[in-house]
Amino acid sequence: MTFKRYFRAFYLHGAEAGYLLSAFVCGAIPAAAIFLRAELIDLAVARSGGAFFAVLAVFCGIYLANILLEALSKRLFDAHRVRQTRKLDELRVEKASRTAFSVTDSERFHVLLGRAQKAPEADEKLFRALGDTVRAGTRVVLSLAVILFADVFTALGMAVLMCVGVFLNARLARTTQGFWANYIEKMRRANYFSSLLMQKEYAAERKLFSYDKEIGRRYDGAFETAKRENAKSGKKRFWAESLLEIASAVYTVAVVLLLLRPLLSNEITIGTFTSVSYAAVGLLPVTRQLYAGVFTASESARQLEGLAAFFELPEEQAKGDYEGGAPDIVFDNVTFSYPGAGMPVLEGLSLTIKAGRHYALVGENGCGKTTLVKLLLGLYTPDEGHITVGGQEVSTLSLEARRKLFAAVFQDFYEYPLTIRENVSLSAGTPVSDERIGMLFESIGLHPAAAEREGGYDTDLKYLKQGGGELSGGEWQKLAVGRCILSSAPVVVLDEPNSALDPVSEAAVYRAYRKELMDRTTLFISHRLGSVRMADEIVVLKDGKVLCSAPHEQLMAACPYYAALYNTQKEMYDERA
Amino acid sequence: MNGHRVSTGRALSYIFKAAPWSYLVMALMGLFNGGAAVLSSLCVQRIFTLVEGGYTADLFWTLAAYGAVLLLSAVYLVWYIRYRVQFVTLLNFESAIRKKLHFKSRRISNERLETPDCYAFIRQADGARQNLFRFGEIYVESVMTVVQAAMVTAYVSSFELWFLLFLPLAVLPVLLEMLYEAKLWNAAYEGVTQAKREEAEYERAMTDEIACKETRLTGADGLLMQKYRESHAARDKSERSRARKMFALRLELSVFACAGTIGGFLVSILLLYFGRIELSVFTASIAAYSSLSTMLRGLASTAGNEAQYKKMIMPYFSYADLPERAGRGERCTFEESITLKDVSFRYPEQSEDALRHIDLTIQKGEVLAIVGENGAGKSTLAAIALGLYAPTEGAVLYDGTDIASVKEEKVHEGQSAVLQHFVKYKLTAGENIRIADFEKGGDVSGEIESIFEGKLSENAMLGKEFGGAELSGGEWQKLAIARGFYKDAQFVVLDEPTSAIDPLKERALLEEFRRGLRGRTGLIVTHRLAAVNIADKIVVLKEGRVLEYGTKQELLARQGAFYTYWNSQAEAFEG
Repeated sequence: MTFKRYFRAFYLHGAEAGYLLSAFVCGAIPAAAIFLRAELIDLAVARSGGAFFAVLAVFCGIYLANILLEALSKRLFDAHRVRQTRKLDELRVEKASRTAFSVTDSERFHVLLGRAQKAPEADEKLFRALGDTVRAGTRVVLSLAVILFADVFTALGMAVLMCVGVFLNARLARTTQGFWANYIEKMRRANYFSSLLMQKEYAAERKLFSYDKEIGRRYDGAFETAKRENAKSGKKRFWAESLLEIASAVYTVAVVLLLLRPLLSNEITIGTFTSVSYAAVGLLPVTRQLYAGVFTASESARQLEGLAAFFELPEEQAKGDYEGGAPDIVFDNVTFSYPGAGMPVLEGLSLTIKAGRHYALVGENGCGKTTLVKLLLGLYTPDEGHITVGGQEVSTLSLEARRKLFAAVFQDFYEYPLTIRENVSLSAGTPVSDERIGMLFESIGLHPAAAEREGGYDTDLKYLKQGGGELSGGEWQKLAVGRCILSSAPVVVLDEPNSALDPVSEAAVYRAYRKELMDRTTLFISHRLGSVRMADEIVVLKDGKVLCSAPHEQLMAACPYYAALYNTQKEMYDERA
Repeated sequence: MNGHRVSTGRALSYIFKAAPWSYLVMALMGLFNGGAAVLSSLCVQRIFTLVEGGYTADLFWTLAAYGAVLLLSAVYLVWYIRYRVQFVTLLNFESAIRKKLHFKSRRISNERLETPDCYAFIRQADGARQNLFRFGEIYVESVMTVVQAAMVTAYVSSFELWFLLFLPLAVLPVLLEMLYEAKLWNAAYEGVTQAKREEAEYERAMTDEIACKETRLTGADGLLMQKYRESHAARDKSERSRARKMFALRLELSVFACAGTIGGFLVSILLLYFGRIELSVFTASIAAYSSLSTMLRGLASTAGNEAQYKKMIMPYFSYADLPERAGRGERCTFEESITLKDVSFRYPEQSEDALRHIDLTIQKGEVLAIVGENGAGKSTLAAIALGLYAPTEGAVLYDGTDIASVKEEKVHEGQSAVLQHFVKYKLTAGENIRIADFEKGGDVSGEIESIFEGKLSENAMLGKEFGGAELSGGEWQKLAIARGFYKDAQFVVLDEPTSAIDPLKERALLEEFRRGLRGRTGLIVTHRLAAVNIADKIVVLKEGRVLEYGTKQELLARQGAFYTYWNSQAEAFEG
């Protein structure tokens, strides 16, 4: 999105135009006041009764108008800010949820999302800067015009000195650019040491190993380095600003000198002399505002242009529908490597998963179990080979279709900041009744204290809201399993769903699986070989390929690798050990 | 923790004590600035007296002096405020505050530090450091601005008493708007903060790395999006109403605001018209008024935020006021046994005990395994035995001495641990092990070699945050284990030490533990029962109570709870 398009899309409304218009008028009023003030002084010195009070009334009138317009412009500013923030927030979140999964899994997505999250802030800055620029610009130009009318040389001299001021301002902005970011970067290390010394997640080891002294020394060292850097930047800025201050003093004195000639030759009145020299001093900060306005506006506009990259991220494309019941799933010679990683995780993997049967997937860490699941669910597309569900390529199925087909519990399941009922009903589609939840919780042995609260199953979790509650790690895992059971998907994937469970809960959850998922196709991934022994078929993965696949008894006889793994684990539970 | 209130007086005295010199300099600089403003008005007055006389040497000297005075006031703004405060004073202040926080964190017992919301809480306390300084600054600046304003007003009033009107004219409008705005902000604060928090959580649930795949597959987006919109709408409503109220207020106050802007000029021009003052005094007074209103406006922009600042520094004081450990004894020996005597424990702000009336003794040289269901209190018991948590009732005795009477660091001297939530230090690989005892200065190249098999050296930086290598969960855990055994400790706790390790490799690790614990006293917390094979005694916990205690053989023979656990894991392998 270029700035022009951005501007056209968001800024051509009544409120925005009104805001800029009132900024223009607010800039014109002080210019008009130069003339009025000069008149007033001359009239006061001459004591010309009626005229003096008439002009005084006009003078008061335009200042009151100025105040009212400022109030209006703030009001319009707020209206724009609230509306625009919401628009940008919603556009961002909607876009993020439409973005293809394989993209959201990348670091780039999170960088772009982070930038998009700052867009409302950038827009606010831009809008404010536009107003400031219009206001300050109008004031400078019109004031110079009024002064030009009084004395040409003064106006020209002022213009020249103002240009010097703007130049020095630009130089200052260049010198100081990146100071803050630099300091923050330098402080990161110190901040890390500081967090080691106070944050709770380090508390136990910090006390047991009493590393306060050594880490405290490192904190001091890192902080001193950052401080020295920062003081250096500060000194640079100080000298640049000092130059600007000297220029300001020269300008102020010069205006008086410039005005002296026309005053002494009676070309201007003492009123004009006083008013112009007074106004000239006030104009100086305005040139600074003008420069800052232009600078900030262009900076924020550039930041907003960066949004384009986010909004152009590829989205979920597939539209295919799936009709029919429980399908057979076929992996045909599938090869896959993660974007940017060299080594393929799966290499020529072939596997058939028959409808209604129960499969277990075993293998050591890093053999590709979880990747296989991601491919099956269509979250990634294989580099080579095909994955078909009931004859249809998974990658052609729409998200909707895949939701109907699959339910899954992941190793790193998410703890949603929703109510208990909402959490458990997510895969089912519609909110589930109290009765059904009660039955489910009974069968998986989940009795959360949070459900005892006033809200019952409608209690919010993650302590997000007043009166909300929270679950323990094991309870969350059971809840994730329960969600899967409540879905009506014909294919269920369970990726190590027991890591946070103790043996007794684990056994209860297994029983629930067997009962509830009896007539669906299941794919169960586990490290604990004892728990997958009952599967209809055990698939052993090694180095991205299927090493062997058969029921337990056959594998023990035919696959030495499996037998070795199994026996190692078994021996640990042998009473004679 | 919430709802903690500290009086402004106490907050200020705390802040001033943290950096008395900085604030003294601030006050002096304020006086200096007021002086410069008076001098500048004086110059303006003199210039206008001289100007009608044409080009005289006097006029040029006065103009030169005027230029010099302008630079003098720049010293305050450019040197003091923009350089000294921002680049030096503030940094030193922040670091001093941080050190107080570090010190405090050492004195608080872990059960308080580890409450669920403590993370955000410490962050807020740490985030308040700059605001603490600003809070003190508001008060010093307010006082000094009033003094400066009085100086300027006194100067112009020496010409004509009507100029005394300057002060109320400049102060009142600014003050009114400021107070009302703060009130509106205060009223909306809670709601807006809550809505923002909700929005952030909902957005995270749609975009977080972990959430994404699940959210896509369950179609949770729809529900989350709806909730996101609701929260946003609530926030917008509150902001809109605040904007409307502010607008109405500004309209009502417009006459005052107008008086504030041009009041000084009006008073001066009327005095000029009625011949009470000279033109030169008139010019000096409008210059004085304009510097007066600049000062006050500057103050208003900070002082208007007093309430906000106060709110933001409260978490710091809530944290500073948390109760500390009381023990002051210097000696803590462990020659014979660790005894838990009728220990009960309840986490702060919880309604139920996590441990109930535990009596347990670990003899020196013995290895004890703690088993039980999730939430039975296993890790809590380990933390109690280590003295990390202080029992709510009962006592933990090392050789008969209640460790509550001893300084906490003395208790931990002879201890080491591999904890369930072990730390992944963003230090070098070697330091990740040596951090357990920096003073020991031992060689860790063997450990590094066995974990990384030559892939990473001892000096390799870890964690991608600082450009180091990223490790797998298993590698991090192995480092944590090496760290736990690096320190020469008599008492070692292993709390779920194999959770991130491939169970297919667990067995070799258990062998390592057996070796590591030889000659030491050990405590192993586990729900993978295979680990009990390296223990001498086993204690089974249920709902915070000791259910069974004995050797593995004894417990299996008893056919109780342990027997059931054991079989639920072992029987999977049978047949």
